[in-house]
Amino acid sequence: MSLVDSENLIVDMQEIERSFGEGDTSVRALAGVDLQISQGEFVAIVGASGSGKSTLLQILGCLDRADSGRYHLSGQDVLTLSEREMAKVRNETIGFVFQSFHLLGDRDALANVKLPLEYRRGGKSHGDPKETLNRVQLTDRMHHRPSQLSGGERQRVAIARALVKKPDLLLCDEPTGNLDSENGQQVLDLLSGLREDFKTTLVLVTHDSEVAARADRTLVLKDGLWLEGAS
Amino acid sequence: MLILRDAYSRIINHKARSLLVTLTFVLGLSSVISIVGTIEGGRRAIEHDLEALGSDLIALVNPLKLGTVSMGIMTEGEPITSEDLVSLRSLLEESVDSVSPLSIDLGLTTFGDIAWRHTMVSTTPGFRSVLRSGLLAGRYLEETDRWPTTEGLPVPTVIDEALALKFFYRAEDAMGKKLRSIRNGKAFDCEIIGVVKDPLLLRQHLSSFDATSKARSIPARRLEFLNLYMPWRAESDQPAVVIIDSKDVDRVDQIEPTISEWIGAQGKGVYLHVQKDWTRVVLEMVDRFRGLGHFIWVLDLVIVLILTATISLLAIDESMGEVALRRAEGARVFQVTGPVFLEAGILALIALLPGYYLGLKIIEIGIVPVLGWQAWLPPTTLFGTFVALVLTAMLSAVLPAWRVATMDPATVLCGRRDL
Repeated sequence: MSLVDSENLIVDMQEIERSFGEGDTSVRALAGVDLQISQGEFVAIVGASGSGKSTLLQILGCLDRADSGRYHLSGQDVLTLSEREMAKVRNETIGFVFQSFHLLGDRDALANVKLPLEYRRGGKSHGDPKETLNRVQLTDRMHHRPSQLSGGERQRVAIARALVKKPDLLLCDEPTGNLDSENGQQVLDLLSGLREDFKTTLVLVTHDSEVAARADRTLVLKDGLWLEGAS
Repeated sequence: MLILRDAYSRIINHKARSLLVTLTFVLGLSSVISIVGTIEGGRRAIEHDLEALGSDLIALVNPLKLGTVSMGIMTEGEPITSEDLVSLRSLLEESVDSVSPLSIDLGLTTFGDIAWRHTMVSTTPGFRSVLRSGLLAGRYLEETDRWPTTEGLPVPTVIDEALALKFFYRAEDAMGKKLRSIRNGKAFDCEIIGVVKDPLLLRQHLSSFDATSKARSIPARRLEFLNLYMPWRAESDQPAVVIIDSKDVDRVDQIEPTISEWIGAQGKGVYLHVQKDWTRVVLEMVDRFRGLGHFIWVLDLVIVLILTATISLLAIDESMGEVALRRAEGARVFQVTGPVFLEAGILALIALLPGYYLGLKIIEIGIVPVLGWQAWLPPTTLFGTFVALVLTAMLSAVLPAWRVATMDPATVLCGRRDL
């Protein structure tokens, strides 16, 4: 899977540019980035702080819009979508896993997994929350609140919450950043296994070269552009 | 339903904040209720007392007896005499309940070891129609009541409740009693045959109500309702004032020009005092103070708005992670701002009853005993107050909701904006 399957592209970005601020204080986060990712591929994006990888992840996740360029997600031109349509894409097509888990503290694991389904308005099918929790081996913890779970378990709940949507694209931002090495390895194993099972495309932003090494492809960002020959 | 559930969760999961905001609404509403209730009640009490003085009365005041205080428009000419009363009565017969002459003097009355200086009024039985409050006990003067022709016999007299209370523990106790009075240097006995109920609500609690009496003219002091009423002596009494009691307030405007014409035709020099106009002027002044009171409660709600907006604004930062997550998971802007507004609205609704109850308690315990009048909350004003509170609550949610709507989910969720 190291080569892009142009017939089966899920992400197709061309000349993506994004700047913040105006005038002399303007910072160019992305300076014309191209990115193609095939269905089912596992891509790691690495780069120093300030290289533009978070901005790229936000645009990939439809949480932000590029200033210029072209971005097709599953064949849909997302840069032209309305706020409402962007929300629908985030709900049906994209799953998120964050470094800080971001679970709702007042809800148990099962309710946290159900959260994205509250905003599902018909359309695409979704998974069963209990089965998804079973898949991340948390059946016996489904009625526990986040405060009653370990760090690794919390991240597994967050993964189940992303997967219950049956997303085409799973975006992970430093998913092992808050975990010890053992739990980090378990989470990575889980993500790899799930990717095989669900045929989900996985994009992972990390500082950790060992984590990046598990990907099919590693892309290095520097000053808003890909570093040539680093893949 | 989802927005309602999220609003409920926000309330339940942040109990301290919800309690603080609700408490602010309760205190804000209670102070608004007490302010509005007090000013509306005060206006009502003043209006009642002015009505009790008779809005449908027209007074013709002879200038010779007016003292230093002017009332109404003075015309030039002769004073009204007893003989003029017949002419006036026949002129206004169809439109008035009574035309009553009043001869008013300052006098001194004693009972036991209590002495009181007050006004004494000689008048005709028709004056009863002017006394709106009616009688507390006994009867009013009748045609058969006369000044005694035999020395030593008492004068049949009616007493005002407030004056009776100067001499007796209960005003009714004055009935049948003989008081010793001095009027125009002549001493005589009065036998109380009736007690006029006090029409002035405000006097019941304001001890300084008649503090200005010394500065007012003798005719005007009859309005204190601290009088003794005695039979009219046609042979010797001359009217200081003639009170014309219109059948209703609306007829005052019709009668007034007729009387003015009569005054002109007869060449009378009297002050024409139209109580309705005076009442309107006084109420206009009261309404200015009332407007100030309403401004104060609006200011009160603005303070509530600032307080709750500050609490909500500080608290919204706690919820940013959850809101950002919901946005990332597909929530639209209205789905995250809606609960913020709804939360404020629900807390305001929760605060309505306790705020209303507390407001009434403040009036009952803190205001009525001091000011004396009962609170009055017109239903429309009360409803308007409730609506104003709910609107204030919704307004207080605007800034937090705006912050939620304009947040950058990525920055919150990723914990950084390092490009």
